[in-house]
Parts: sequence; structure tokens; C-alpha cells
Amino acid sequence: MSLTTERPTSTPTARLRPAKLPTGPGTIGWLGPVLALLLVGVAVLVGQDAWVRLQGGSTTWLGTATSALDGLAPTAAVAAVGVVVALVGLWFVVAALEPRTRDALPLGGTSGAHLRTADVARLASGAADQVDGVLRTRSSAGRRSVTVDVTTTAARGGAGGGVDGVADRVRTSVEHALRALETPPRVKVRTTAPKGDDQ
Amino acid sequence: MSRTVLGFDRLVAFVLGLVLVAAGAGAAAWGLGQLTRVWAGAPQAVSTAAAGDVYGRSWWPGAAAAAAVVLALLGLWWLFAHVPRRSTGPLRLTGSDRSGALAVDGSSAAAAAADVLAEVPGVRSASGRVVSDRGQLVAEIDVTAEPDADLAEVAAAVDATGAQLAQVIGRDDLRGRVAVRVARRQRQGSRVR
Repeated sequence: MSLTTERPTSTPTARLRPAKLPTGPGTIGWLGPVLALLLVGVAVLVGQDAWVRLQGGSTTWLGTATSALDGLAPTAAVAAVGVVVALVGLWFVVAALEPRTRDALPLGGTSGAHLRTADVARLASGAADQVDGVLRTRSSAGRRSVTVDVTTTAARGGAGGGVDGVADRVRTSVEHALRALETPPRVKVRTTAPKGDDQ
Repeated sequence: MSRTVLGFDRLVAFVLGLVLVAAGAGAAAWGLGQLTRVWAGAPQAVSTAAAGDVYGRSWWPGAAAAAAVVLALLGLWWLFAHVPRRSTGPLRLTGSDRSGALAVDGSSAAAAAADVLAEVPGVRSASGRVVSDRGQLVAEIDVTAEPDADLAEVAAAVDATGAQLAQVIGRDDLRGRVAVRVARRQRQGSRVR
């Protein structure tokens, strides 16, 4: 087997067909293991009860919890606990029905390369950082748009187009950096002056 | 984690959710004294005497021990089912017959492809393997790029390397998935100022 770093000089006869884009499981991805752990916890509770009683004892976690509930009368506190339990249940139902998360953006090409939205945001920040007049950047990205927050040293109406000029150059730089994506997201640029600056 | 396990997770969360909604709503209505509107015989106070009787029966400790073992095994199976198992063995190549089998270690080939990608300017590191994913044989390559990497150049390199990998493995059913991750910060000294 040999793979070389040289680019093929002619169109390769084989090509790697892209796999399905990855999707995330969403909330159920961590809720499932937590529910499994809870089941193990229930097993421990029941097991402790069995162990203590088989040893001749009678004070168990399960028995204590059951006794604590004995004689409980209807109060506003019980109603509040009930509301919380119902809300947790509702959240479980929503998590169970929630669709899988899709945050991958395919790169143009044939090999199934993709970036996740968080990586698109980092790439946008990396491109914006290279523009003159940019002090700091922070970016966030979805599948359709990327927002770049830029802290600039430029003055409003200053040389080189000032703040607006920096915003334009940042937008151009970010659009250039993301041009290889199959569907490049829309780029929004927001500029702010450094704190304590009157510009 | 397999789709079956995720489906089981969803089913359990859904059923448990419905039970909690019903129990919570019932407790809330009871706490506010409204439960008698739909259930005339609603108790005025909780009584756990029946549970206490069960705990006192001679068969209870044995039954509880058996239930604990079953629940623990079920819980542990469910928990460990979430650990992904996607590895594939050697890939059988076309041309294999009774006289001999031709096979290739797909993950080694994918790792070699990743090494090639790691040499591309703007790429910090890369790793590769062949896995079985959602019924597909997938060459999975993770590429970590610098924040100022030229994405078009990375994409071109990925295509070229992917084509070479397809030729090396020589299986029509092989698919590619290259996850391009971007490093949080520029590596010190990698940029000329």
C-alpha cells in the first residue's frame, strides 16, 4: 500500500463516495445513559433492602423512605412537588420525541468532508483575526448564517473607511475563508469599539 | 451507539415521561384538594401500611434480592450498550475465491491517508479508521486544521487523498467521511508576522 503526498496529475479513476452526514442524538444521547444509571440505582436500593433483611435487620433505605411518606396529607408543598414531577415528565416526553441534531455543513467536493457549525465559527474568527484593525473576534454559526462580533481599533469615519471599512474587509475575508463549503452560510458582521474608548 | 439502543432510550424516556406527567398531575391535584372532583374516593392522607405488610412477609427478602439482580443486570447491559462498537475486521477484496482470500486492513489504509492529509499546509493533525456506520462501510478521517487554514486547499487535498484511498482499498461499497475540525487557537509559531 502506498499513498503519496503528490497530487494526482490526472483525474483519478476511483473516487470515494461520501457517507451520510453525521447527526447528533440530541438530549436523548445523554438522557439514555442517565436513565440506565437510575435503573442501576433502583437495583442498589432494592438490593440493600434484601441484604439487610436477609441479615435479620429491619432498617433499610426503602423502608425508611416508605415510612417517611406514611401519613402525608395534601398540602401546597405536595402540589408544588407534583408540578415539578409533571414538568420533568413532560421534558422526558419532549426529549424522547426530539429529532436528531444536524449541525454538519458539507464541504464542496466528493469525499464527504464536512465541518460542524462550531468549527465554521472558529474558521470565521480565524479569518477575521487577520484583518487589519481587528482587536478581538467572537463568532457563532448556524447552518445558514455565521455572525462575527469584531472589536476594532478603527474610528468611526476614520482612515481606510473606519469601522465600516473594517466590517466590509472582515465580511470579505470570512466569505473567502468559507467559500469551499457546499452552501456557504450568510456572513453578518457586528463591530464594537474597545471598552473605555469613545470612538 | 446503535440506533436500536437510541430507540430503546426514546421508548423508555417517553413511557417514563408519561407516567411522571400522570403521577405529578395527580399529586398536584391531590395537594390542592381537587382530586376528589375526578376520584371521589381519593384518600385524605397517604397510607403505606400495605407496603409495610409486604416488607414483613417471609418471601420479600428473596424476591427483592432476585429483583435487584435482574434490575442491576438490565441496567448495566443498558448502560454498556451505549458504548459504540463500530470496528470492522480485515476487508475482503474482490478476487477472493476458494483458492484464497484477499483482504486489506482498512483502518491502516485510512490511517495512512490521514498521515498524507496531516502534511497539507494548514492541517495540524489527522487520524483515520474504517468503521461500520448505519449499515455503511465508512472510511472516517478526523482532520484538525488551524483557524487560518485555506479551506479550499484542505478540500482539494481531501478529495485527492480520498480518491487514492478508494483505489488502495478497492471496494465499491466504501464511503468517506472527513470531519474537518478547527483548532480553538492558532498554534504558536505557525504564523509568520
